[in-house]
Amino acid sequence: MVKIEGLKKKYGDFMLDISLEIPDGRVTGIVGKNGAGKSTTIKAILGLIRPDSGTVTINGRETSSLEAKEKENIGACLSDSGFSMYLTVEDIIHILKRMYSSFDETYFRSFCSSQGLPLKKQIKDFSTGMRAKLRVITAISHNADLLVMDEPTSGLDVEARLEILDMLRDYISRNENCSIIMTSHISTDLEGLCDDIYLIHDGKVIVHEDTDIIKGNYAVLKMDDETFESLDKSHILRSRREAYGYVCFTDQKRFYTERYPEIVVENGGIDELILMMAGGEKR
Amino acid sequence: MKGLLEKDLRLMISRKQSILIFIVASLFVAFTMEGSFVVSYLTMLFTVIAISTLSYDEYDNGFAFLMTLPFSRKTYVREKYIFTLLAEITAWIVSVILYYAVNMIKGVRIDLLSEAPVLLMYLPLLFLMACMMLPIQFRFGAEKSRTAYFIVIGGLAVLLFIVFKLIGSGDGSIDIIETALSFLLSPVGIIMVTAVFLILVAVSYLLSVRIMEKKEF
Repeated sequence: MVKIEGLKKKYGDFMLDISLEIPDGRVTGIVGKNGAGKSTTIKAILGLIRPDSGTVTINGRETSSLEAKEKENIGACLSDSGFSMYLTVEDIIHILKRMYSSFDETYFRSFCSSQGLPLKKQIKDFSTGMRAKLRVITAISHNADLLVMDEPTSGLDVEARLEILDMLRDYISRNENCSIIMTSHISTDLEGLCDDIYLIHDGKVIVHEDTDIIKGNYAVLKMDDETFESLDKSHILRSRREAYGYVCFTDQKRFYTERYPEIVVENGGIDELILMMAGGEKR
Repeated sequence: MKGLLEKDLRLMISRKQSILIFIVASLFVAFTMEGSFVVSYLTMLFTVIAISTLSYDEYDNGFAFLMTLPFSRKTYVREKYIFTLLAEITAWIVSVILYYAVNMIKGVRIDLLSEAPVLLMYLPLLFLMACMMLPIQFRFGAEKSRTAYFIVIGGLAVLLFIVFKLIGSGDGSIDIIETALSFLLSPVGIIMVTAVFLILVAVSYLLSVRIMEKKEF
């Protein structure tokens, strides 16, 4: 579905240099610290920026040269951009109806009424949560095969976040072949939704792994100095010195739980992945 | 394209209060001022309002999302020119009706046919103004384009001043103007003016397309 090959983009001192692939029917998460290059990657997929080199294709077509009909298959949700704040939901319904041949007005309207989004109020008078819901419903209301979502749950309370995630789950269950690429600062959002995760750090992909493997095989190991010195470090990805000893990160949890019962083992998740891989020292 | 036109129309309607004030002001102008000033006034206002939908698109980083919707950047530019032209023509028709109606009320007889050439001239002239404003707005955005307008309009004023000064300094300056006018009204002159108009519109449009296609959001 989406293929990024050797994409390079320079902004001052920052250089994005990544390759990634999102197959059909897959939900992929992109994680990383602020300024790692997540949003730039999303923008490159949507053809909003021009790569210095490399290619970004959707179904084999360069994103910058997609025809209107091909763009109808993409649903985009950006964290800091949407329809003009001076429009109302009713205006947006009319606009989308003319833009997308497969716009599902009934679904859109029923969603707005169930979520309490007023039809005649200008978006500038909406709350943050209402705006976020509107952005997501706009992206998923025209049967897109590819959803590109940059921080769809950012700045929302837990209830609004869960509602948005439910909307996406519902969409996936109704469109099995649809691919989703999504960034988020909230790792639990991605853990419950994504099939695989790309960790971007300093403009580069440093980990690409299935979410189940991250949850099942990755772990944080805590030990004293003595144990650390004698530790077989062949499966240690990162380590960090702490006040009480060492914290290590591994992708082979069982290897260490079986051999070193004295080590404190905590399951690794996306948060730990970001903290250790983007913060710890290489072993 | 249809979706974009719908969006711009709705954005324009969202400013209905300002539009109402402009129309009331136009009525005032129509009643108080002699001549067809109201036609150029209202037509220009609506042309500017149509162009200002571009600022609404740009506001709050709106371009990024807009460019993910199903149209090309070229289509976006083309729609702005078409929308501006449609707004201008609509405003022109309304203002001509207003001009005629107000003068009827005032008891002044107007021969629309004899005034038609002057009234019709507003359309290409104001569209040329739009064609000057649009690339500037595409290139510099809503904020910076104000400064750019000052520079461009200032530059044009200086240029015109120099041209008039040069013409005025010679002996037979009136002759030059008269000859120029009679040439412009001749069939060849009209064809040439039309050609220059079309070339200017095309240059403006192609420039805007180039600017938009280079932009990053």
